[in-house]
Amino acid sequence: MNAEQDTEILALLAEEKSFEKGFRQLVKAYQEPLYWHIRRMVHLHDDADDVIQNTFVKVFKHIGAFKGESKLYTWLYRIASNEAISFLNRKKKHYGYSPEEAMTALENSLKADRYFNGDEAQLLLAKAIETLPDRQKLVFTLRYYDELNYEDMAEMLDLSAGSLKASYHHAVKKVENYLKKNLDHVR
Amino acid sequence: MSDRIPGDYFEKLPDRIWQRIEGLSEHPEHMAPLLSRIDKASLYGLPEGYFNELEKNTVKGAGKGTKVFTPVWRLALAATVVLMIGFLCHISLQENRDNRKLAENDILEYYIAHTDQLDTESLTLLEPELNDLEPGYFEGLDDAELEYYLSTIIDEVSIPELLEIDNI
Repeated sequence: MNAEQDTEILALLAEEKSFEKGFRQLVKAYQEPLYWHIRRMVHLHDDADDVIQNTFVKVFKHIGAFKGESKLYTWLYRIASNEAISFLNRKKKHYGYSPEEAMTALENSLKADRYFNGDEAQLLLAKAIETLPDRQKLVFTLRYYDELNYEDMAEMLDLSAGSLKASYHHAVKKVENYLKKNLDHVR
Repeated sequence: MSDRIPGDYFEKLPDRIWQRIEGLSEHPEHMAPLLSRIDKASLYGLPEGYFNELEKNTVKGAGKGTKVFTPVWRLALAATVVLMIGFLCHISLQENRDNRKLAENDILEYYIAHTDQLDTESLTLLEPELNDLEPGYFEGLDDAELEYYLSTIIDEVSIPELLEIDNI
């Protein structure tokens, strides 16, 4: 997330003749952080692949509307987060799982996913995060994994830094309690 | 229980709460012993070369304004197309059958309604064997008999042939 790089990308995107070059640079610069952010929300590679492509199509369509009032990467993260949450909502609606069924389905999917490398404890952490409401899950993953500062998160999510701090604290507590309750079964 | 609270309690309460929130640790996970023991990294893997392909496919797909189809989507799309083609073929066959039947019924009804207009020459076109029939064979046949006769030969005569009779 380099301010100088963002300025260069935006300059290229502003001109029609250099738009494609600018878009390519944008994709190259942000595909990995956005992918991992999405992947931590949706867990499965195939789902993350769908969501990230949707994200970049949306970016392509709406980059003209980006006014530079926020940082480019917070704008991109916001689109990616919204796409991931929409995806999760559609999935929940489609399958109509109860929370327990959803958890079982997640565990089975992760274990069956050839691209899942985690051990039992990491699987448990994924399940713990899954118990969080979507917005809180988003706050947790942005802070815990992406290590975004609260000011950038506030810009991204249109919330105050203080409320995000409180939300994150609650999320950590919930995750810790879940691990405490279930880690003994893993040992 | 005392009902006494400081006079400015509720005025100051929001600030006090906010200070407490701001005083929260930047890294509460450090105070979560189980969470801090779990390795953050390497939870998920992905196919080799994925990001090279993603860049190519995304730029191509975004340029077309459509989502790039993943293998799963391609399979689903192919299956949908096959089903649609099968359904359309079925409908088409069904319509042809119905049209043919309808045409046959229409023609049969027409001839029944216009038996008085049928002369030997017309009937000859309908059935080659008519040549072997004695003249006047059809005279005296009632509608039911004529209907029966026509229904037995209708499948052997093509529609164009029958339509030609109308034009004689």
